Amino acid sequence: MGCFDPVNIVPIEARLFEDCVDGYFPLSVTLAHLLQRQCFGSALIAIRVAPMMDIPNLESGAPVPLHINPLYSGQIDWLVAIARMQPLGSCSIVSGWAQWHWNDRARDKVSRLPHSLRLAEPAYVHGIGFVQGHLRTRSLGRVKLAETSSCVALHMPNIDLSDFSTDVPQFDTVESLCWSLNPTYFLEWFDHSVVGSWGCRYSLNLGNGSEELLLVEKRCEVIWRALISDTRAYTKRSFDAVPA
Amino acid sequence: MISQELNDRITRIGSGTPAGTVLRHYWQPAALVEELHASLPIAVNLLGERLALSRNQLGHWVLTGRKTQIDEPVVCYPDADQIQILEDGPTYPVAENNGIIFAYLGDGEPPDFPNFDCFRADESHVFAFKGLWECNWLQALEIGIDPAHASFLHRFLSDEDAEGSYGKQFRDTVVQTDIPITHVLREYPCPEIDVEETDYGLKITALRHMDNGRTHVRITNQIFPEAICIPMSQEMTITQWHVPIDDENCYWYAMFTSFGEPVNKEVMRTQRLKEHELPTYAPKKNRLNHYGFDPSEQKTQTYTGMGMDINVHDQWAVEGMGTIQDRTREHLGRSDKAIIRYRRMLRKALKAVEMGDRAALPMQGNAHVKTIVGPLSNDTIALTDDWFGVSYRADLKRRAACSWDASIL
Repeated sequence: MGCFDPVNIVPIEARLFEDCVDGYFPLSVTLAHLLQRQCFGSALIAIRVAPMMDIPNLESGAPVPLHINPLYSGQIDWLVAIARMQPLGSCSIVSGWAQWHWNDRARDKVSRLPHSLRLAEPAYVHGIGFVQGHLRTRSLGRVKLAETSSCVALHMPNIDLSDFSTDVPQFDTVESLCWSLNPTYFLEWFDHSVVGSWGCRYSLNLGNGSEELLLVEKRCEVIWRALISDTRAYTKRSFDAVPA
Repeated sequence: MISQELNDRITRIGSGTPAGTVLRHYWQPAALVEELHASLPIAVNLLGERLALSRNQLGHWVLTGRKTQIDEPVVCYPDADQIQILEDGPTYPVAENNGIIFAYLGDGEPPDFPNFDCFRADESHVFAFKGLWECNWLQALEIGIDPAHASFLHRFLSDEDAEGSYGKQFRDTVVQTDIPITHVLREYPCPEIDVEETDYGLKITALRHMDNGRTHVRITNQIFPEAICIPMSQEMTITQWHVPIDDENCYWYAMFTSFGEPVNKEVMRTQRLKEHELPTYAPKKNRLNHYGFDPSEQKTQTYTGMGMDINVHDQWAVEGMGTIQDRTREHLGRSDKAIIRYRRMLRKALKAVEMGDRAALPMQGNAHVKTIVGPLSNDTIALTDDWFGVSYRADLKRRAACSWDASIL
């Protein structure tokens, strides 16, 4: 990753959250409900060991099936994705990584989860939600600059400071989020070395300069960081340098 | 809805199955001490295994494999002289704890017992009993961690004088009030539910927002892997395991723990023996007699029409789903938060044991199991702004007044 310039670090309004999402609907709809309920414009979400289904030719607005065919069912072992609200209230899963298996083992040869994916039962999710604002980002859509202090920041290479309507606060501020979740617990299962890619819908040919880095700090110490872009969302356990 | 394969993974408990392996990493109730007054050995059917409990020459309890008799039913208590010990069968560690014989059927060293109230209370303050349910253990457990069901399944159409409520669940008043629990459950059926993962399992908080800025707070717990801890009355809690006999039958084992007076065990045992047959502890109300259903009672007294014993209501609900609930046709909702969180914990545990990572299981590995105390389990009514503080302080007050060491600080 190399060093990064603190001048490119932008505190943003965000908070940790946990919730229980409905199953049965297309996942993009389920996550839209989540974002609306939590008043987020986008979120980095995590789902662990959740049953899933993908029923061919089932219209998105069709009634929920009464019975599940084993051929169409499986389990997400873990999934981390960035969900982003779209203007009309639906939601797009911008990017994500996951580990999963299908009952029909032949489907496991496909290295992507389909966009028609549904959770087969409600699921517990947690993550970091981002308040919608005016700062344009590649990964999270439009986010809101933190006006006082924040534990969450984006490192944005080639940032254009003219995007900002307010001054950029310093990053080395005290913690201000309510830590209802232990962040190490949130991250316990991240291990991107063993998983397949998922959801590469956008911007397949990004260069290094387009990567965005999500930083979470506590008591002026960076405790977690995730390299995100619109094709990726995964953690980076070690860095050559972190901001002072 | 989950596939049959996923349902099998979380329900079946035979040796070598994923869920069976998880359960075998924990002490399991195997028998009531009161059962041991019969001639030894006694039969113990646990986790699909046919075992026998006896004493060795040193007087220690020994749990060993036994020969299965031809056409032996799943629930059976053969005479001692009919029991033949398998010479090359398994032998399992056994521990006696406040009225229950616990057994450890897993590999390696058994874990420590947590310092739960039911284990640390004086023997005089704990009463243990059990009952048979003819269904899979998981559906038996899941009803106990659903805070919403009590407002419907256990709805009483009128309130009973708390004077006659000793030993009965949901019949007391809320602590420091004269409001019957039955009134709260009936009038406020849609609780706000919060579920928090803990060292021992789940802490489940149900908030029923009442009039005048008050909130009824009911805190219950799921103790991993298959127990619950819930309030029974102002002075008692129930810690209850749902222990598989096999895939299609289970026993609930309950430890009624008093923070006040010593338990009147004679009264509590007599109450429960009115409802159960010995030696099987099978409920007298069951599928064969329609669980005692009485339409006139349903019209005037209870939601189910199945009597005042809430155990019968739960038994009907869980047995009615079939011996193993068909979850390929199940549709959980968001109010099933605790069930969803519990299944997540269970599935994580299944993955962990398959990876050989025992330390990842709750209350295993490097966890300081003996330092786990409580859990907090009570009913209170509080000003909505301070519901957490009121519940917590009520628990501390009850503990401070307790004759046995119930301290948690």
